[in-house]
Amino acid sequence: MKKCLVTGMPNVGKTSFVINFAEYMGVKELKLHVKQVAGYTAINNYSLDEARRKLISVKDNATKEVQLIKLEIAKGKSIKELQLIDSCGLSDGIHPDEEVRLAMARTLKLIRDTEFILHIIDINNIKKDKKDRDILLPVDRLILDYASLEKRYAILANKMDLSCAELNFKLLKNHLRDIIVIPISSLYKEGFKEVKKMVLSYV
Amino acid sequence: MYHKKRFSQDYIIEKFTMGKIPMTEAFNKFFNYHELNIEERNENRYFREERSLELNIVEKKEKNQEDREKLNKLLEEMDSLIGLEEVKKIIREYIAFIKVQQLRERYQLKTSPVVMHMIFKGNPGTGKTTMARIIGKIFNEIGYLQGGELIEAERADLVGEYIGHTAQKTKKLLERALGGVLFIDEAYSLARGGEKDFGKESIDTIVKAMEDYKDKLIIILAGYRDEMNFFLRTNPGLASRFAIQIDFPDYTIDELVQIANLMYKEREYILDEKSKHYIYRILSEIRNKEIINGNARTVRNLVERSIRQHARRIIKQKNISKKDLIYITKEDLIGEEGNNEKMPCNRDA
Repeated sequence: MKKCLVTGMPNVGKTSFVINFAEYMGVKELKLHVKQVAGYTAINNYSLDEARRKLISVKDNATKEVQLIKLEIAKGKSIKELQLIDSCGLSDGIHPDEEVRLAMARTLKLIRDTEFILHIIDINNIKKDKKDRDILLPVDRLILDYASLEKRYAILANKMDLSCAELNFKLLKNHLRDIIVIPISSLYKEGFKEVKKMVLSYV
Repeated sequence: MYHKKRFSQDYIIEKFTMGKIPMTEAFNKFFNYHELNIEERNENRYFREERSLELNIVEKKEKNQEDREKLNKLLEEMDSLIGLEEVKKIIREYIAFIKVQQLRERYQLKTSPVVMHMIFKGNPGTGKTTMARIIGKIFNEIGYLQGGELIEAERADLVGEYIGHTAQKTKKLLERALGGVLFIDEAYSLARGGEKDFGKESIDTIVKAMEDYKDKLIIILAGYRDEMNFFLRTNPGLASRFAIQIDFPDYTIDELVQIANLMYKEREYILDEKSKHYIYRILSEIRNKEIINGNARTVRNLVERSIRQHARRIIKQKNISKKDLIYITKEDLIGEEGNNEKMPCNRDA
């Protein structure tokens, strides 16, 4: 089964993307495989609304476990399976909570081991100062530099529904010429068509 | 040994989890890891090399260069041995195998255990000990062994005088050899005494140690081909435990002559035209007499004796030139009358 990792900084909307994208792909009920630290995998069943209520949070690093969702995608006449992996966001510096640090370490390993990486960026969170050469935050830049070379990789510019997002998106697009950047709004399920195309080409 | 150690990617993760390094640093080190070349990663691998993370890249590169040069030098040393092409090929294969296993482990792929115990079969003077010594150095260099050296042992070093003494004696020797190579010459003699012989106890201890210290020690058993084959037959477990069995063929006459030339060269002597042909004859005649004795050690004895002979001849001269000091003549090879029995070449003399 092909795997796809959703990663990015904390609070950019990874979990909400995963849940809403699953819904977009026709999942009625979320079967969330949660990898426990002890090693086994627990399966949590949520209805979509329940999942949104329980899993999506405005706090940083709400997701600590590795959460897997199996998607069934019809490609031609056959049905392909894709595992969508939601992981803990990576933040700069040393996080005070050890549990979160552990979760981030797991994400690092996942980045290493997964072939297909969707990197979610908060489009409102890029630096606008033009003197500053790099408009990306350091962690985003690191992920981009590594994954764009080694993996199948796309940037999802999330939160396109907010004002001034358009402007930032143009900036970003200009800045990253040779990298796929897809504008989405995971809250309103916008731009998912492009993402689906990308995913279809992979499975 | 290496497959028990985790590698420094894990080490970085651990450091990060403990809150010692920030995300960006952890990320950089975790992934730039892939961009380092093989040697750099090798060197960067173990937890015990914690400090190497702190070393700056320039220093790392220099150290790698040194390491690589060391290994190349050792391989050159191995290649400079005359003949033994088959043996060299096998050793190179195993070096590659170990390196690949080390690499696979880094990417968390399955690795097969590398057991390097060996049996060397061949006549005396076919390069068994020399090869064992070089193997020890090489496997030290690529990180399979740790710092040990070659310990040569024979029956007397392993077998004790009274009951219970043998196991202790063998164990002590094994412990001394940990991290290196234990080379047991004439190993078949351990099985020669029959059931009641203490040699058997020694073999049992060695077999147990081979399992216990699988990757801390290379045990090499050496001996004559036929005797070793017999030895392996007497102890069915042994043959399967020694995956690598290497035959050391007798040197051809050409190779023996090459060896002789090399030995003279090392000692800064040169054979003159006549003696060059003559040494070929001497060696082939020795070989024809008894094949077991016609190997590199015989050549060495011959060379050393001729050098002594050369000294004896030259000291009688009044004026000794530099040329005289260098060139070995046919007379030197023939030797004095006392030695002529050994060297069956007095027809020409």
